[in-house]
Amino acid sequence: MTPKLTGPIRASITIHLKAAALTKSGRVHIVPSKGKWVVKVEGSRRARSVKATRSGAMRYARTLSKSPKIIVHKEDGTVKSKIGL
Amino acid sequence: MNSRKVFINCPFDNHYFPLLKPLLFTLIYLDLNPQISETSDCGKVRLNKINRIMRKSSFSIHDLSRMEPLKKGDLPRFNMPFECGIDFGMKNSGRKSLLKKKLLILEKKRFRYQKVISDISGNDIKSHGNRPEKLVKAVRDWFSLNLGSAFYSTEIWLAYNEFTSDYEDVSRSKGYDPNDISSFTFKDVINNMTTWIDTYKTK
Repeated sequence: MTPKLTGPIRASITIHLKAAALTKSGRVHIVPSKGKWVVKVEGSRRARSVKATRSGAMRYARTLSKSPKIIVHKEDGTVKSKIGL
Repeated sequence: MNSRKVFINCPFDNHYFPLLKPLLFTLIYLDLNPQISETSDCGKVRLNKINRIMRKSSFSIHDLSRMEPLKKGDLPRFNMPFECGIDFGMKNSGRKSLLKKKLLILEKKRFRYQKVISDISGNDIKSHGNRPEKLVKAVRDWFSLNLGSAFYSTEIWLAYNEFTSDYEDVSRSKGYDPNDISSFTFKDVINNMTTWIDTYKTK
């Protein structure tokens, strides 16, 4: 059952979202955009690279760190899969 | 009228939620103030509330993409075109201040409106094809024309994806389904997006 939204829960969500937005953990997002796949690293507001295919974007994302944390998105922006997380 | 307030007329259900979320996010990212009539009041009270919100908003977005039955056997829904008509009437009521109101109409397919509501031809009508990224671009581009320079739509789309990932994690950790429209009030959703965007922009 969904818990009732109370003031303390609301405050806790706000705190966690703030912390999440601030993070520069280096997690890599792979985002479908305009028929291509954008690679974006957390901490930056811009795309790191744009690839023609998802597998190409994944290959590139894996080169960005020794143990990459990759989040692949669906066309609606939600999360399709997580790798290394 | 408040120059940052944007009245939103769209369905409030789980079918439309994947489009409503990026719509709200885009407006907040552009430093605008989305206005939604969130109430379970009776029809008359609800309509009065909508009228009040419309009158105070400099901009309105009417998404007519769902003026159709959700499935075979259902009836089409007329709330969106009805409220759109009220807004047009308000804009053209003769009051100078309301004449400045700007209205964006969103549709699923280009030119479909000509078959079902052709009276709105000649206004700002953009199609989103039910695709969130296309909706972000349509809304961003329209505000860019009306308010001057704005963030690029790709920046907003990438930020939205990152937000979604964080929002899913945080919501689920508290026991809420982030993709269920009834998990949070719209006020909560708007506040959460605002918090996240304000923080994100400081990076």
